[in-house]
Amino acid sequence: MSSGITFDPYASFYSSSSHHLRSSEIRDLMSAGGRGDVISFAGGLPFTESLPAGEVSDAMLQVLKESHAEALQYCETEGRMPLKRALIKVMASEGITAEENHILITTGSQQALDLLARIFIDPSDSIVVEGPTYVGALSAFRAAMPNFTTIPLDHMGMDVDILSRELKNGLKPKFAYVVPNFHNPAGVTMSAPRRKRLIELAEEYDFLIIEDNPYGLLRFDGEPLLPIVALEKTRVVYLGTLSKIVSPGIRIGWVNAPLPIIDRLAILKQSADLCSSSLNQMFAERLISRDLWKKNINNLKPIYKSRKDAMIRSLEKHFPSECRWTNPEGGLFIWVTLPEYLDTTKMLPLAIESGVAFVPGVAFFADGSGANMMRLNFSFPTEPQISEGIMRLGKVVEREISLYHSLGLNNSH
Amino acid sequence: MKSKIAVLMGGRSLERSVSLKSGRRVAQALRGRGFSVLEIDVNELLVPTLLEQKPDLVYIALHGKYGEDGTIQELLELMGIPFTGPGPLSSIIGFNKILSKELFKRHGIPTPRYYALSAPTFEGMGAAKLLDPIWGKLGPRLVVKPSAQGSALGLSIVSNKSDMASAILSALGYDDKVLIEEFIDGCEIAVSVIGDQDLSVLPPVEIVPESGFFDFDSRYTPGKTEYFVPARLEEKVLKEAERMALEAHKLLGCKDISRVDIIVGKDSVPYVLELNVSPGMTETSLLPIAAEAAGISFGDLVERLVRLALGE
Repeated sequence: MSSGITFDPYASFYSSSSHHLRSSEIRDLMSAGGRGDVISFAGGLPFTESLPAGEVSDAMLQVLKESHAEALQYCETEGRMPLKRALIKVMASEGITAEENHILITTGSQQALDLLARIFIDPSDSIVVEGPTYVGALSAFRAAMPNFTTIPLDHMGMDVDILSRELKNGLKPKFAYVVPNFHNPAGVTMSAPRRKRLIELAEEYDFLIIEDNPYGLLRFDGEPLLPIVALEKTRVVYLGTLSKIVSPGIRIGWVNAPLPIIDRLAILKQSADLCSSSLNQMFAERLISRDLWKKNINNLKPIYKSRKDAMIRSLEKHFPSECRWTNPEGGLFIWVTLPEYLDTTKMLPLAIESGVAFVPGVAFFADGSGANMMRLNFSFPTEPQISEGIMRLGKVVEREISLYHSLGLNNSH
Repeated sequence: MKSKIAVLMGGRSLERSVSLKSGRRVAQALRGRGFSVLEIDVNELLVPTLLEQKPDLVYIALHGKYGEDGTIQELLELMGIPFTGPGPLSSIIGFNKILSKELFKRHGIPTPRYYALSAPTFEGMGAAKLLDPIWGKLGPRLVVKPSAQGSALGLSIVSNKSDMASAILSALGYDDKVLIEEFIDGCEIAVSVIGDQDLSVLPPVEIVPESGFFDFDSRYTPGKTEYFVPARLEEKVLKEAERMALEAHKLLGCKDISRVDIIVGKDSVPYVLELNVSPGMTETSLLPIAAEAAGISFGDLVERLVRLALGE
C-alpha cells in the first residue's frame, strides 16, 4: 500500500501567510560563500573588533556588580528611562531633538519594522519603498501583504519627482519607507532638497514617513545632512539602532515617533516580547555614558573610508568600463550596476567557485527588478582581501559578458 | 573493538550545506552504533588530519564537486583508506552526466535524447547558431542542465525557444559543459541499489513536488514535496525500472551503493536521467526514505554501508 510522505506532518496547520517561507538556493550558495577560501562581500557585518575588550567587559561587570537584580528582571515595555536619555544624546549629535516619552526601545530596528508593519498595514494597503531597499524591511512588510510601489533611487536618493507623479496619479500610500543616509544596499544619500520635498509631499498627500537611519553617524566624507525627523516631527517615524555604531549583538534599536504611535507600538511590543532585554539595555547605557560609541565611530570611520577607497580603486581597475557603482560618503555598502543584459544571480555560482561572494540585486527590490545589480560590503573584508576579491569578481563579470555575447543573447535587445 | 570512522562533509562544493546536514546525521547514527566517529569538514587540513588520525574507514558524505566526481575517491585510494560507496572511475562517470548518458545509450539503457555543448564551443566556435536546430530536434520542451552538478542547481525547464540561451547561461555558471535534453513528461522516481556481489534494489520512491518541478526548494523544504513508496506504478513497470537501475549500477561498475534517478514516461519506458554515487542522507533525502520503506532504519542503512566498505 503506497502512502504519501511529506516530511512535515504539521504542514496542514501553518497559516497561509507563512507559506512563502522556504529554503532558498541563494541562501545555500551563500553558505558555500562562508567557506574560508571565499572572500565575502555579501555580509553586512560591522567591524566589532574595533571595540576595546577591556572597556566593554568593565561596563558589563559594572552592570552586574552594581545592579544585578535589576538587570536580571523585566523592565518597562517602552524601555528603560536611562537608556532613552542616553539615546537622546546620540540623536542630538545628528541634530535631532527628542523627548523620552516619544521613544520606544526595540530589540534591534528589525523589531520596529515588524511592529510598524503590523500597526500600519492591512492587506493590499499601498506603501512606498525605494528601489532598491533594505531587504529586512521588505520581509517585515511583506508579512502584512501590502501593495508595494517602488520608487527608484539615483545618486541623490529616492527620486521624489517620480513619487510626486505617482501621487498625482492617485497613489495613496500609508507610508513611505526611506533610508536617507548611506542607503543599504545602494550606498547613496538623499539630498537635503529631496528630504524637504518628501515632507511636503507627505503633507500634501497625507502619508507618513518611516526614516530608517542605522548608518547616519558613519559618515567619513562630506558634510552631514539633517535627518528628516529633525525637519518635521508629526509625520515621521524615526528608527535608530546601536547595531552599526556599537554592536549588532546587543540588539538595541529604538523608535522616535509621535506619542499615539509609540503607545500603539508599545501595546503590540508587549505581546511580541514584553520588553527588550534589561541586561542589554543597562549595558548599552554604560557604553553610551562612557562615550564608547563616539570613540568607536571615530575608530571605524578611517577604517571604513580606507576600505571603501580600496574597493573603488579595485573596481576602477578590474571591472569592465560599462559597469557603474556608487561612491558612498559613509555606511557599509557599494552598489554596482552591470550592463543591463547581465544577471548577477546567474553569475553567483561562478563567483563562489572563483572564491568571491556578493548579494545579487534582485533581493533588494519589491518589484523583481535589479537583476543586473549587486551589493558589495566593504566594512568587513580587509584591504588586501578587497583588492584580491574585486579582481576575482571582475574576471567573473568579464567572463559572463563574453558568454553572454557568444550565446547571442545581445541580439534580442 | 569497533572501527574508527572519519565522516567527510561540507567542503568546497556548492552543495556544502546539504552535505553538512547529511554528514552530521550520518555521524550521529554511527555514534549510536558504537563507532568512534571523527567529523571532518573538508579543507586543506584533510590529508594531514587523516594521516594523523588513521581512521579505519572514511564515510563520504560529501556531495557535488570533489566529493562525488572521483576526486576524494582517488585521494583515499592513494592513501589506502577504505571508503564508503563507489570507487573513482564510477564516480567520475556518474558525476559527468554526458559520459554516463553516452554509456547508457550504448548499452541499451533508455535515457532522454540529448546534446552536449561546452562553453568553448559558444565562445570560440559560434555554437549559438545550433540552438535553433537543437530546439527543432528536441523541442517543444527541454531541460537544460550543467553536466556536472547535483541538487538540480543550474537546471531549467525551457518551454520557449527564446529562453534556451538564457538557460544555458545559467547552467554554465555551474559547469563548463551543459546538457540539453528532451523533456520527458512522466513519473519521476529514484531507485537505490545496495550491496556487493549480492545486489538488492530498494523500493522505488516516487517524487511529487508541489511546484511540479523537483528543484532545490522542493528538495530541501520539508512539506514542499510528497513522496510515495513504493512508487504508484504498475508492477511490471516498477520491475522494469528496477532492472534498469541495476543495469546502470553494474554498467558504471559501482560498489556498494548508488541512487539512480529515472523518469517513467507516458510510454511506460523508464528513462535513466543520472546515477548518484553519494546520495543525500538528510531528513528529506531519497535513499533513507527508500531504506525505511524496506524496513531498514537510518542507523541500519549507515551501518550496512560501513560494513560493505569494510568488506565485512
